[in-house]
Amino acid sequence: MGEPMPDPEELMALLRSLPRADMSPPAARRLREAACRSLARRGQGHALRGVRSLGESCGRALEAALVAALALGFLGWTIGRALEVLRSVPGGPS
Amino acid sequence: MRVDRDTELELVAGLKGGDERAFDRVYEEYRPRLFSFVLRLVGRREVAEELSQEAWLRLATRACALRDDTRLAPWLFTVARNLCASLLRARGLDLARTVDPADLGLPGGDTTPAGELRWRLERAMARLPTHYREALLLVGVEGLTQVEAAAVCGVRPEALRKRVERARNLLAAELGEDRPRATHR
Repeated sequence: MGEPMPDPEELMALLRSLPRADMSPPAARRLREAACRSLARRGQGHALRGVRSLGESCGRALEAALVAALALGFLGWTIGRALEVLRSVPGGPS
Repeated sequence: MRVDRDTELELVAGLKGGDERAFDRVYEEYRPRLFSFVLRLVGRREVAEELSQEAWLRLATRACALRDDTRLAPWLFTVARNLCASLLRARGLDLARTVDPADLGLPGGDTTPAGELRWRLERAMARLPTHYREALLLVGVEGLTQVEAAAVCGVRPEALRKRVERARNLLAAELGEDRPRATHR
């Protein structure tokens, strides 16, 4: 009849020793080329996204600085105008 | 040759940056493992090649979105396993029931006791229900931890442990029924 059945430990050792199959070399080569092309495209896209993200951050910082400068300018102008009005009132600050 | 954790992290960083050398290293390391896993799940070489290609192309197209701490083997096996599951679900059958041992790299005329036992093991595994087979392949053949294999199969580690145990018992029973024969085909 048959050989004795392997015990669980032997069975797991046997499973680990099973041979591996592989794709045919031409198929493996074609796949590698297609995957590398795709990887390079995505990598460039990733780098471009990084540059765009940096540009967007700089743009936002500039915008905030401009708004702050405008606000400060407007505040200065308002204070100046107020002082002018006060000076024009008799008995006001000279 | 297995990839240590530091190397794996470097490879993931390389893949994220579109580094071809990193891809080559991962491809050489995991291609036979992934292909063997898929082949033993679906049992047809041409189907296994198709599914393996899809899995590798997914790695290439999604590499830049990988987490820095990605573990490559579980990631690849998860993608491949899900592709197999979708295919088997779509076709409503278990393709692997007629696995050809020549496709698995087994020498056809190997009549030594070791060759005979390996042949019986392959046949017995092909007869296991898919959810038992995939658990046994991941833990027993590919050496993933039970936690990693559970994540690949989308089940809790305890459920995976039970599947492996049950699969091992079924396999032993199948081996008992599939007695050695004089010829393979």
